[in-house]
Amino acid sequence: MKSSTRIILVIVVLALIPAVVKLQALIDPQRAQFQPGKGVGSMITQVGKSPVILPSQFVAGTVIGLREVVAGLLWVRANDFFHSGNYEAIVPLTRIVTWLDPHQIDVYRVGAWHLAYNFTDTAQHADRRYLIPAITFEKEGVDNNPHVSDLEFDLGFVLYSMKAYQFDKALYWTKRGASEKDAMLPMHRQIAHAYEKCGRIEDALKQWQHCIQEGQDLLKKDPKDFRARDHYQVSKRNYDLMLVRKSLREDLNKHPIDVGFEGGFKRLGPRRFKISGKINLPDATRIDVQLADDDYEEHDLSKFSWDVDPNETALYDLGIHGIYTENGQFSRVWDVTKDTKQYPFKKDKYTLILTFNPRMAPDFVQDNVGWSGEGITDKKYLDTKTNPGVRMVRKVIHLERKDII
Amino acid sequence: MTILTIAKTTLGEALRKKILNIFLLVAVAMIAFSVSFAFFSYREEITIIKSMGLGVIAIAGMFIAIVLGINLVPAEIERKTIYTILSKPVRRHEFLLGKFLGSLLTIFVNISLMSIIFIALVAWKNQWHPEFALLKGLLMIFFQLYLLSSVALLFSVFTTPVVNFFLTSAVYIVGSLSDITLAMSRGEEKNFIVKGFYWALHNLVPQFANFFTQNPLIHPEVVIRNEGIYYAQNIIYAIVYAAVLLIIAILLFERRDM
Repeated sequence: MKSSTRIILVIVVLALIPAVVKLQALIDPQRAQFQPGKGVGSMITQVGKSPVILPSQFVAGTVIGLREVVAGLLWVRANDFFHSGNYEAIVPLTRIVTWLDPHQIDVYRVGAWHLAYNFTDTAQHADRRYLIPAITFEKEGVDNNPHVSDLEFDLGFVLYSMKAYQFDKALYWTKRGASEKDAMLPMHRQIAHAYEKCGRIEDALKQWQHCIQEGQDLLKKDPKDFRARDHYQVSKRNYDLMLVRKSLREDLNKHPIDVGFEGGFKRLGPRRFKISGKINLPDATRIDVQLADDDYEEHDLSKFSWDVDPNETALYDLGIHGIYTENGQFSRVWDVTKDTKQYPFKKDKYTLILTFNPRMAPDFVQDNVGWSGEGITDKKYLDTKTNPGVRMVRKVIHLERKDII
Repeated sequence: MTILTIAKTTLGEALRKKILNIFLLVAVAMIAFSVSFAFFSYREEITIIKSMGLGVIAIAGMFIAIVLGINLVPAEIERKTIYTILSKPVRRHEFLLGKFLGSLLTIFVNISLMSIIFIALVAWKNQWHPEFALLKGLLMIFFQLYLLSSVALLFSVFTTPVVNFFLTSAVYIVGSLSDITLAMSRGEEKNFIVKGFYWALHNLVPQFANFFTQNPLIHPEVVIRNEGIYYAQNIIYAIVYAAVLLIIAILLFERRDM
């Protein structure tokens, strides 16, 4: 090679290097917009009180562009843990998977579900302390994946049903989920249910009408669309039923029933106790139970952590998990002798709250008491302040540690 | 013409190499194996199949590119065939470019075979609706390996295959740590020497992380803004950077005593 050619080639190399640097400067901000894991943060995350470094066995895979593969394989591993009943191992895995790839929608959903339902005592009562972490985890999923209806709707459902019973928040998230482009038709119907649980009956009826119209419009476009037919038929049935119920329940407030609520606590032995009482309402009326530290409060978490305070006790049995009445009586014996981890009872004072909440009552009970308790009264325990707009009965019993242990 | 002839010979030799065929077979088996995760929801299942497929193609392609690249020149010297070739009217840069082109063709053939299986598998899971968007990811993998091959070729001019293997792998790993080198080069609390070191690493080492576009391809809700521009910039980056490395390789090879 001639020396002149060599010099030209060297000049070309020197000229191309700034071009490479410039191109890299153009690429960096664009890549940051979609790439999971930012900077050193791709190796370290915050779990509870302390930072956690990505386990070394996963580092190699992630640094050579296999983040999503590692995340996927870890989720496969989590599935094995699920089938073997090793639920405690799943939550850390969900953290690592969503940390590696924050767009794993179903990992957020399933992870939150595990937290909310699968940490249980020997009688299969879920550990209430994990509810807020579950909700926070799902909210993190929503933050990382805005406009994914499944996640928003799922969050709404966790808040609506099973454990949380926070209907105002449930309505907000359900509406958000249903407003997304990828929302499914049942999400629109769930809005009506959430309105009903919030006591907003007229809004619920309007939503059913909207769903009926929606179903009809879709059927006009495609008469064989089974989803549209289902949407129309379910909405029509629920709308008609709600109109009938509205008519039946209209005058309940004129002659309210005195439910004569009573409730009590009896220690049967160390960590064994009985909660019983009476209420003048049909069989299968549900009584909610909350036995928790006197100072127990559920605060929102700013950042997800599955660490719960091992000194806190929160025994909650709400809604469908509550105590059912029979012949106007209710009674349940709790034996938590083997559940010292879930119910440590380390504080000195406790509060037991027994509630009948009409909003959580099944339809046949609401037919007697109204959507918001319009048809009931109670000389001792009527409570209209805890949940404005709802007439519930609520008895608070203060206990000391010696009453339980 | 000379370059093409050498490229064809290199391709023929590479396709007969058992180790490369084993990489290919293992990769194809792993892609096919991903369908066994059929116990998840449809979304999870397709996410795993896509991530496994793209990941396996990228990693198998990386091994193929490195194993091929590190032997391009040393193997010819060891077998002494290089003296026969260079005694003919073949210039040294033609030999080198022919070898490089041959390795690229080999990578292309291997990636194509894996991609056909992968695309077919995803299409099968999607009720026979092929997802051609995945081709964008495969294109990025190809250009990543194009750049990696040029790194391996450059080192193969003056190192042994074993040393080259570690050097090329190290460059690949450092170039894949783009997030970290970028963050460290911008850290406010760092002194200018540390920042300068990371700036140099980030800007002067080939950034293989630029080509990791699996996430938006796996998750439909993740979108690359100005997608066309992003892909074009990456392709230009690979071509320009590889050109720099090839010129340096040619300059070094021209001066090498044979």
